[in-house]
Amino acid sequence: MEKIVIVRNLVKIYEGKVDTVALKGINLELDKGYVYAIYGQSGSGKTTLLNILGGLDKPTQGKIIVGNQDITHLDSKNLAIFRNTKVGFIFQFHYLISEFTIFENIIMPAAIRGGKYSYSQVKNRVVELAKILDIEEILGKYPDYVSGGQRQRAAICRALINEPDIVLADEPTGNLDSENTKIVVDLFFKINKVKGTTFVIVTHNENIANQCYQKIELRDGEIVKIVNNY
Amino acid sequence: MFRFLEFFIAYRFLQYKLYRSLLIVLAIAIGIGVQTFVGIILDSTQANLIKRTLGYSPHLTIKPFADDKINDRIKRPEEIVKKIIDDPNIFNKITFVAEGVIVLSDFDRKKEITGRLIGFQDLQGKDIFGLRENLIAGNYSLRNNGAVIGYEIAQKLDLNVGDYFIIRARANKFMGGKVVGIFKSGNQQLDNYVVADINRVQDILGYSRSEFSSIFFQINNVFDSDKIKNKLLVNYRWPYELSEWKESNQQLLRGLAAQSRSGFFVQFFILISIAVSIFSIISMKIVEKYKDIGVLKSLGMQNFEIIKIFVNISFLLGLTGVLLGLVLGLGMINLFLSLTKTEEGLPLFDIVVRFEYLLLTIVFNVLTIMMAGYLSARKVINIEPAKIIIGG
Repeated sequence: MEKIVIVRNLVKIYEGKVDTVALKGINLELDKGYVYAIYGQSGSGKTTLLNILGGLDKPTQGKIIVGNQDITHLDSKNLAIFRNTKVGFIFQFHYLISEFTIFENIIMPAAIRGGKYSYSQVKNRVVELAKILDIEEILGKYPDYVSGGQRQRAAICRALINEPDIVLADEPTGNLDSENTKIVVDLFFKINKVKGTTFVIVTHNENIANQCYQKIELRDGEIVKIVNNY
Repeated sequence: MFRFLEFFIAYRFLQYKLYRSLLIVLAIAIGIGVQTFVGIILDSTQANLIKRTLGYSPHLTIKPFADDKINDRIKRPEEIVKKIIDDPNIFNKITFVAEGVIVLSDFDRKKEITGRLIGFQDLQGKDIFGLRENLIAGNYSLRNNGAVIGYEIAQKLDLNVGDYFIIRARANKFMGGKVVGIFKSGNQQLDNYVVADINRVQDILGYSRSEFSSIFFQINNVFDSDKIKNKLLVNYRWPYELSEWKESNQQLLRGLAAQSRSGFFVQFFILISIAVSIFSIISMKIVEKYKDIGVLKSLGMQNFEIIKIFVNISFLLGLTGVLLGLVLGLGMINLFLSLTKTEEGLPLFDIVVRFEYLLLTIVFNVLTIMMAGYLSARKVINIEPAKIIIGG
């Protein structure tokens, strides 16, 4: 099985008046094409792990390989390219930019790098994703004028626009009601099934975690349990 | 796919909540307006001071040495000047002058005073002493024995336009004349002159048509007179004395230099205070966009691309603010002129607006504002996206 993520002895320490050890030596391997859950209570290090896998933060120690690329010591330029081309990140809060329409927010990753697609190809892809995520009618609207669920679905579209190898979702349903939570989680599995995209979902929701291929439980910065659900 | 993405993002950032952007533009405009107003006023007072003190006198003079009996007059001055008049950027007025001390009396010889008789041959047709501008009576027609006299002479001999007078020069040469005009320059020395046709002056002084007492020059930049003098002395070997205004006007020079320097420092500190204010305003704009910077970084935008966004924001705000500020400053000048007039309803002094000053104001301030955007953005771009998004 091809590995999409390989982590060796990952340590993250936040320096301050009192140093905080967020991750205490994580070792992890994830296969390509599955949906994973990183599960744990607040403060367990889930978000820190996800941020490092996504190149949003740097490790203090250890080695991280994502999509066959060692990102441990990448400079800022190459990390930016990595974030744009290999990873799709979905935050708990949508973080859409208010000054741009839903459509413009979604194509932003493609616009940043240009990439291998032309504008019309990207536009077609937006329409395709918008259909799957049921946000076609809001593409021309601004984020402040659509619902929370629609914003989060738009953020998911944005994360998928460059066809990343892996999507990292940090509590993607944390701010959603149960109906929208179900919609979003179902969509992840649908896209995984249709496109083969790997998903890593950080959640403290046990129901979501139990639906995933593998549930990786973190506590106090360490992996305490890995459960294969199927 | 998007060639000007950073500019597009910058434009959108400004367009959203437009009133905030307009407030920033207004703040910049007010600062630039004040800077422009003060700069133009300082420039104009300096220019007026120079004009009043040096505008109607020669900056460089070529004349015979006092003890030279052989070259006691300048012969064929056109030979001297033909080599040096090619540069209009240096010399803007050149006048051949014939002058001498005279005794002047009214026609009835009731009163007699000493004065100076002078005649000009302006090469460019420009009046070096501004006598035409300073006429307070009559006209400047010097034909048919006409003469224009200074105010002091008119007062002392009680002469008016139309009156006749008699001039006695050395070797008892006499000349009669009719007052056609009276000038008042405000310069006591000049106001003791009698101006007559150059040929008549040459006759009464015993000069031939190609002989003159001196050559007067006015230059574009009065403060370059010493440099120009030194250059002429090196390049030409004239048998005459070359002098420049600074040699005999040290106090005036010190006064002008002090005015110029203090004006410079006033403008410099205004510039600094405006730059600091603008820096804070632009920094606040960047703090507003902190989270968006983190999001853009997380989507793969590189540091230099993010800097470009904020330099573009600064450029748009800066250019709009500076242009508006210039209009505001010029408006303030107009208001100043309308509120400060002499008893005759004339402006207190002439306003000098130099195109180079306006261009420099635009370029310098826009660059300063763009630098503010660059420096403010630099502080944040090296922070990890996760820290910006979560901590911002």
